[in-house]
Amino acid sequence: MSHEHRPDGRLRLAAALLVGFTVSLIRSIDTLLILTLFATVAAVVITVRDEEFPRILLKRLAIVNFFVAWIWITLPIDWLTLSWRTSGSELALQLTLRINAIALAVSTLLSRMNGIDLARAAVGLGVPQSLGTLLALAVRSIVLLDSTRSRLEQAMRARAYRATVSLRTIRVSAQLVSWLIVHALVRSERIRVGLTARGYTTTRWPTRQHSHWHALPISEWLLFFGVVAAIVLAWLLPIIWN
Amino acid sequence: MHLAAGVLGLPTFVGSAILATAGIAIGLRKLTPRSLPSAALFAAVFFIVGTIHIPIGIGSVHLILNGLIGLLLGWLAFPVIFVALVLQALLFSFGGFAVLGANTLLLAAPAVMAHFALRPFVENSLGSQRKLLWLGLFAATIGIGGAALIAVTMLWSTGQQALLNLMVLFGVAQIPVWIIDAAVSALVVATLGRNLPQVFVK
Repeated sequence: MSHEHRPDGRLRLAAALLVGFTVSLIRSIDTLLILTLFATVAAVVITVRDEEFPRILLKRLAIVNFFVAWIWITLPIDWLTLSWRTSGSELALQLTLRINAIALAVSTLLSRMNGIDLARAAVGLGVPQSLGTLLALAVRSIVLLDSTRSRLEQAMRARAYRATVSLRTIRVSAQLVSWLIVHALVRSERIRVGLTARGYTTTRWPTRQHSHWHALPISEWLLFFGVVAAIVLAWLLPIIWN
Repeated sequence: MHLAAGVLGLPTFVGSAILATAGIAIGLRKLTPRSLPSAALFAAVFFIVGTIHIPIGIGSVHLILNGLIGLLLGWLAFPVIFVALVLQALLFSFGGFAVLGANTLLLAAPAVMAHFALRPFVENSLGSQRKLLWLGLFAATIGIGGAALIAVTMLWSTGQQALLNLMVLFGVAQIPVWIIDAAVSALVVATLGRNLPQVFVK
């Protein structure tokens, strides 16, 4: 089961959701630029303390910026007349900053949280227990099914299978998916019997209770209020500047 | 098929989150201690099939199979797809946490539609491989077609004319996804109908 996270997982998740919500609201390029800068600084601070983080962050940024590349191909260029559109380039810049600000901030805020930690934090924020249970069981199930998939793929390779552009690839992929579903159903029955044998007869999640909000030390709240302050500051600075 | 965080406007962002929450709430009401392990394993299946890539020309497409999941699970598809998307966002940064509502809605709503549109025909089709193939084909068509339609509607609702090219490109990019997904779904439904028909029986 998960270990206790510092700062509190609920506050980190709430801060990540707040960033996602507010950044989606912001249209000012200046504000988005400042927020992206703040998020970059926060990511650099985490990078100093966590050696694994830069690798994970760069991978995530590469994925989101693949989508950004499509935005820059489609928005600023009018492909019929092959002309540059200023409104399109402004929108592309706005989306680029939004997407990167959210990716940087959310990756930083949720760094080192796994699926179980996230489920526990979400339940602590009021998400139904059954959804937390489903998430926790899904994390475990992925490990089990992934090993089944590895075995099946090994067997496929042993029979000289190689994915190509062909009907055979589609047929073999369909067989792989079918077998994964069959394995999932057989395994789910075994898991159900195991859970029942352990007296687990509800969809509630027997997880540790969170500390009460008022019992959390001030240092725990600093991260959340720091995020709120950064958003307010990013909103106010361009207004003061102009 | 994921929308990136930051691309949607606030009304779409909030509206899709509300609709997804409603769908998840209905799905969770159908979740029982008996169906919990299979729902979790289907979330794992949905997560893993998202990592199976099929080559097409110089690139590849990954399987979605939301129509198939919907056909098998009904309203449970909402929480199951939501959980898989949470894990995809956490582990691979696909989509992102800020647009979980929108991405859940665009994948799970067509899944539920596929369930209600095709479920009445399932039991009559169990004896015939050809009927099962058609069933899988229609499930994928509703799943992928519905998801593409919802995604384009979400982009259109931002009111940005400049997004038109992106919407067209997004729609066109779904055509090979639909072809591959439809072929795989059809074969999976046929295989399950032949070897494990009880999976389709309530």
